[in-house]
Amino acid sequence: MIKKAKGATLALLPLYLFALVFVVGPLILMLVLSFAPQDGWSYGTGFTWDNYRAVFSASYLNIFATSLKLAVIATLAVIVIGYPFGLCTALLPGKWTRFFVASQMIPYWVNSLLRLYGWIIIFRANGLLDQVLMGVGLTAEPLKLLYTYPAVVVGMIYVLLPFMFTSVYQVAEKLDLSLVEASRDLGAGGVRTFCSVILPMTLPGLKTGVVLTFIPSMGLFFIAQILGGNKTVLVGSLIEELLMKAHNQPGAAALSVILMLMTAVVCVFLLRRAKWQK
Amino acid sequence: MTSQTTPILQIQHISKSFGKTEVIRDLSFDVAAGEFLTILGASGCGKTTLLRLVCGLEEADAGAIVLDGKDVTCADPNHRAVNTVFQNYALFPHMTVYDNVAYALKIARRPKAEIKEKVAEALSLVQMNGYEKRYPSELSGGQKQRVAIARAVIARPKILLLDEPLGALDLNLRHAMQIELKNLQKTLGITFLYITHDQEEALNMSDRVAVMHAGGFLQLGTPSEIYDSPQNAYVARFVGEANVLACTYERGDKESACVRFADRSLTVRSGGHTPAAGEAVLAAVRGEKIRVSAAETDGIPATVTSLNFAGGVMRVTVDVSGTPITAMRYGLDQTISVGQQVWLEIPELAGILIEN
Repeated sequence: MIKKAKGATLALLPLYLFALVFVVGPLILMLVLSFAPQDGWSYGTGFTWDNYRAVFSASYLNIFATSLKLAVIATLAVIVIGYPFGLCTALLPGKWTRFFVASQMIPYWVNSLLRLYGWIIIFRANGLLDQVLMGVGLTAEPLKLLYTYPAVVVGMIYVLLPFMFTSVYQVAEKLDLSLVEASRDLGAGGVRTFCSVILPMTLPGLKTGVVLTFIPSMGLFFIAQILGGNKTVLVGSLIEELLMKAHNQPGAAALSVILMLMTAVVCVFLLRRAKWQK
Repeated sequence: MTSQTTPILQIQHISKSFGKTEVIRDLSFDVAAGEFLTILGASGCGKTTLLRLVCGLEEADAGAIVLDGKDVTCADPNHRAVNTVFQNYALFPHMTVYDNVAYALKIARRPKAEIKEKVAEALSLVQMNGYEKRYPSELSGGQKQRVAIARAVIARPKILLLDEPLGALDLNLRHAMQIELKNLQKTLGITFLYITHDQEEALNMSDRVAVMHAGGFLQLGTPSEIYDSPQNAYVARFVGEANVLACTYERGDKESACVRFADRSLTVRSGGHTPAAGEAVLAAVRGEKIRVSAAETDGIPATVTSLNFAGGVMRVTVDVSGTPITAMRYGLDQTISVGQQVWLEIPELAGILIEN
């Protein structure tokens, strides 16, 4: 065991304090607030379960279900695209690796809201996508994809893909290729080697990718607003509405607490370490 | 090894290049069934590439590889009855010792009971029973080594390839494992193709040793042939650090020859060489055959340039009119110091003529 130097702990003290004041503090405030009664445009003192009762009402649960469905669809799509992409990129020769990593990173120098507006240009009726599809002759009339569910899904995939890509890539890059060779040498074909060696060895990256994709996708309401025309109401947008329009701060806090608990459960489940990693 | 039986492995004129670098050049040799053949060479000589060609992880540019009568030149590694003990062990870190060892049999879809029995057998061969539930990260280097061997022999390959398997172990463990590997090979009766840069390992364990250099074999023979009768200066110097003396041929036959070195006549073995009288020839003489005398004899006069104490042996480096010679002087009965004049005695037939 390496003994951690006392000096290091001391040097990190400001960071701990910062985290305590600006991360843990607000969370406690939010928890306290979620039990406060609503009082006109503000909140009163006292203790009530009302906010949580509201969360578990049919209409709110519906919104949770919609959000969950969208998050699952987006996460699955991101796995299907991002896992092979990250894995293959890591196994490519050096210059191609750098090219694909850059292709995933460089767009992030531009604000994600701005990039989402780019999708409006592509998706809107008689926009870029329609022009291309109609020009090639694949469709006869505009698809009118903007402000539809598929547009929201595409937007989610677009925003979340780099998280999956990076997580998978980082693990796959460290994959010891002699293990793949050993598997082949011991008689395993390509598919078997993938299932028995490559997949289990890169699973930690995939799991991290799922955490980094699934959790934000529960709250990425601005994508649903920009590309979905707010036809799809998600938990994120509900919290925003409660807070900004209804001025129901305790309600928003209770929703946030439940959302956090849900994602925390997913996190704990996915980020458990396998025995061999310890 | 008898030559009547068909070899288990035939390497026929194989060549392999990576880009413009030719790593293996028109190489041919046979491996007899049950043999322990070691390929000995410095790093970069192509020995690992040769091993990878045999197990199918690389494909030869030209030539053929015949395994037990079947041409496997283009076969995938999973279609060759060959298993490998990798240099870094390459144990699957996410599998227990049991699952690692059972891997080949699980791939082959053997019944569970059979797998269990064979894993127990393989682990007892390498004295690793009781470690079934451990993960590789919980094992020491020597233990990983044993598991890697058990994993590679469980499916009883026709040939076991070993790529510097003892390289990462410390000296004592390496000696113990050398003996164990040799015993294991006898017990299993599996042909071993062993790769190393360590001449001591090669001489200790092998039935035959091939000295490899620049993509080809310089000499292939029994350990004593390689050691006592090197055919060229590289083998002489690489295996046991022999002295290579530039001499003038005087007379001789296929058995022995008389050569002139430093104004003295030496009788050496001919090694099959019968050059013309007066021709320049090279003779290899092992250091431990050369005796150093502080008292004047009719031997070759020399000047001591350095002394190295190497445990039981003193290595004396001397200079004979510009030629450095290393001699092993046993015992410390005489005091010798640097700069002193000494006399070298080279016994008859101690040296051998080598390729020029």
